[in-house]
Amino acid sequence: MKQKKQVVVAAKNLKKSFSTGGNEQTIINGLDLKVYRGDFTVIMGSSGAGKSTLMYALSGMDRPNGGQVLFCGEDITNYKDDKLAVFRRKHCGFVFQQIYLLERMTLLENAIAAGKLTEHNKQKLKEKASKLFAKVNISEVLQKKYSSQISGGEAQRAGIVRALMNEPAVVFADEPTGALNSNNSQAVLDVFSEVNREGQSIIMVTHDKKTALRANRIIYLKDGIIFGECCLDTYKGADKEREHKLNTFLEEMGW
Amino acid sequence: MKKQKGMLPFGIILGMAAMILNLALVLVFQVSSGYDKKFQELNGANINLILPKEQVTEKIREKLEQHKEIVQAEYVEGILTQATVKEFRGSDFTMNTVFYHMNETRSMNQLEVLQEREKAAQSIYLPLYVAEFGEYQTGESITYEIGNASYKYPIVGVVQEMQFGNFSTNMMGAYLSKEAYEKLLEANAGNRVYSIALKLKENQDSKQVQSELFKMFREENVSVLYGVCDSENKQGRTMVCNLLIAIFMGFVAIVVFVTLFLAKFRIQNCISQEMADMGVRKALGYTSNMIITSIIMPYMVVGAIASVNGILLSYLLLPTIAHLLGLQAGFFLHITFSLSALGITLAVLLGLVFVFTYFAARKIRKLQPIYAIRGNAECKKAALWQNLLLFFSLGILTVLVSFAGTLFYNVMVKPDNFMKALSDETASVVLRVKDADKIKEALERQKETVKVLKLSTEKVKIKSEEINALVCEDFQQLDNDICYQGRYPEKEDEIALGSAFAQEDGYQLGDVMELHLDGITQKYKIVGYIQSVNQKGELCAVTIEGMKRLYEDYQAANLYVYLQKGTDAGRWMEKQEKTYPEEIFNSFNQEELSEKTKEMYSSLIQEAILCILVVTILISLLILYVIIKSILVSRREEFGIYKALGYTNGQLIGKLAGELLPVSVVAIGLFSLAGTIYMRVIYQFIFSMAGAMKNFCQAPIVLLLGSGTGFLAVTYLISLWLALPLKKISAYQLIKE
Repeated sequence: MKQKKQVVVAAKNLKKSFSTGGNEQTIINGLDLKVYRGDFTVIMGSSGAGKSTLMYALSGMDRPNGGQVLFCGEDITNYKDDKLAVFRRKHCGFVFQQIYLLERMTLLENAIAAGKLTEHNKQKLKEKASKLFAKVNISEVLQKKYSSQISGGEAQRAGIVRALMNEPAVVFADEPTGALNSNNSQAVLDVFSEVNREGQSIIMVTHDKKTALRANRIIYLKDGIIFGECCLDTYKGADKEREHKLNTFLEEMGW
Repeated sequence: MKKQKGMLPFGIILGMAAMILNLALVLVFQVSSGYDKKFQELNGANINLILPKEQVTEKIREKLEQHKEIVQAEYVEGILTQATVKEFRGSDFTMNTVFYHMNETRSMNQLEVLQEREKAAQSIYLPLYVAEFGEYQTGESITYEIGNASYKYPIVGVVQEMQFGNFSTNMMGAYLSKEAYEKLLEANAGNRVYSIALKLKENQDSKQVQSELFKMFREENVSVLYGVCDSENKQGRTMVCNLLIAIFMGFVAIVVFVTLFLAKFRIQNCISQEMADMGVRKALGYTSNMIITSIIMPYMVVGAIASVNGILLSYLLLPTIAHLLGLQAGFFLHITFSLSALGITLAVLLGLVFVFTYFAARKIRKLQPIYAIRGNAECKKAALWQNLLLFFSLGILTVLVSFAGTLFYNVMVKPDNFMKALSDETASVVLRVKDADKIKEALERQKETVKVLKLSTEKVKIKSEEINALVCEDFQQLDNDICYQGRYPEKEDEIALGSAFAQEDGYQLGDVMELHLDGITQKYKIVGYIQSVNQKGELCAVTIEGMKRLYEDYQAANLYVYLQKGTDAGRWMEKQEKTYPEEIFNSFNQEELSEKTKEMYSSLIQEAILCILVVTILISLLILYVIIKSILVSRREEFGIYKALGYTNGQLIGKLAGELLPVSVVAIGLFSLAGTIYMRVIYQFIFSMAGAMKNFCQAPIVLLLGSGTGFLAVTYLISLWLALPLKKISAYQLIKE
């Protein structure tokens, strides 16, 4: 018998609007969503559909105007700032399109800056960072460099290491390959696929079909709600049938 | 919009600098001239003398009126008493007081009535100095104890006068109604005196004429009970005032320096942030000069508006400050608008703003548009400037804090340190006696007496200049060591010279110089230098034997009596006057005067310390505001990342404030430790401006480090407070922006 999947993040009647020049603009309009543990979920949609807004609301990076966000069953919607910060450090990892490594720190220091919030033993932290850097193929020499001294792909892989340092329940990635060239994009996506296969839940926002192919669940946003959803198998490599299924889905969505 | 916001702190800081600079300049320009103006208004005499009435004979009058330099002599009758004022600032205070009839006609030394109530019989007008320091109001009454009688007068007015000095001369005036004057005269007929006011021909050296008159009085056996010329009077009255202005100017220099440094940082920072805009403009075809002008102009316009506002604000504060300073000199200082102060303030501040903005902006010439748009090269420089600004500003502010701390220590905890530098020798009681040798031994035998010293001030001449000579039997026994280099004279042909002669006339130790008195000239070897604030270093010291070489029959006129601790100097003095009525001409309770002076300094210094601390905290607040604000703007993204990683507000606020801590600790620590050296220099400089070369003030390292630690704690708390806005911004907003 197939085991029932556990919900890791859920949104209930989620609403988010922004006030611009006195006009209220609704981005998320009463959205319901369940994200399951171990899934690689991709959020797609046209520009302005509210993909990033939804992701940051789910991760506690921003507050919704209405509805609830439940993380592992716990309502985080009304958490105070500091409680939300502690929640993020324990349960969330972030990977950004602009990478946002701390410029005044080396790659290793960047990883440790995140890790030291939950682990105070420096030796353990270093060992953990080394393992993760090895996993994303960043050498010890590279670990001692600053973000300004390395390529975008290397920086983004270091960003993934930083996101994984606290063993988060979910890694949130906002167009992580948006600023990378094709080769670097592949390398970064390979890392995501590998950690997902090891059980890491991922929620990723993207415009890119190739990136979306790595996911086992694609959510399409339109007019502030989930307009459609597509499920795939876990990614194991390039697959024509998988690509066809995704193309068909996106065509239906008006992509 | 963003630009205008950035200009606000710059405008506030520059406005503050303009306010303080203009304030200081107006005081420098107007205190001395204000005194002179009041002196002219009240037709002050060039020389004021007080002589026993019966000794002012027709012959003396003739001699005065026939003196070639005197154009006018005016005689006003008065009663000279040693009066104890009851409840003077809460305790009794004895001072030599000349009581006059208020309605006596005066063409010189006129009185300006400041406050007046309905006249009454048996009433009094007090001079401003006594009324202000004694905390007397019109409508209240004042009680004098003269001899064994007590006189209580309702105060019907306060007058401003330019005849007497301040408390240090121990001679004050008081002005009675006709009935009160006549009643006092009945009981003190033997103390009738003439106040003689002398007007000299224009540009005459009043000191020189006074010296000639003293010689004439000696020849005619006339006792001069009090004599002072206009220059000595002005010097005495404005001494504390000048000292305060000197402290104030030093303070101004520090504030203006910090403010400009801060302005430079502000400009540098704004330019760094606007570098991308500049690059875009360059790309569009603007010339470097056009861009530089567009950068400089807003700063110049805001600078001009802020400076003018600061200057206007200074005129709101000036009356209060001028009032406090004027009271030290015993007159109301009326501040008028000063075009020179305005011109200098605007020229200095706007000139510096122009130089700073130009040097900060001119680098745009060398910058290619694409690098300007990227703007990365500026980050490291901005951080360096930030650290330099913080280091030097906090360092200089530490000097202020250390100064306030040591001032507190030397004035409030160990007041003798301060008093020794500013006052002459202070015994418990000074007796003016007929025969010093005869009475000295008897006084020494008393159990209350610690020591009795023959110490007098006599007039002698160096070249043609008349100065005071301290004549003492044994200078080693003086409590207040005023010799700052070399030693005191021990032999009859030795002399110690005042600091003014050492500095201006170039007399060296070991040189032989001449003293003159009444046609006799003697040579003396210079063995040391001495100081005196009251006489601005224009004095000398010789032994009694040394004085006798100039005046064979010289006898010490004053005995300085030092009493055991706990002895009531006033009572002891009264007892001696009764025991030796024939031997003691006059006595003076120096202990009491010293206590009153200490009180006066204490209250002034307390206000000064409070003022320094408030301004220091305000400047720290401004500096830290500018720095933290610039960190929050330039590193917004970084703090956003930290928030995304899960750092709490508390952690980030602590981190931001903590980043400033190493530079703050080093700056405050180094400048606090260096205080052991520079505090000595600062005090030396301040006292030397008043004529004191020897510095008794201490700067214990524990005190300096304690003040520094306190200051560090305050700056850290301010930093934490200023970093609080981090709380209001969510991580998502930070990243989005």
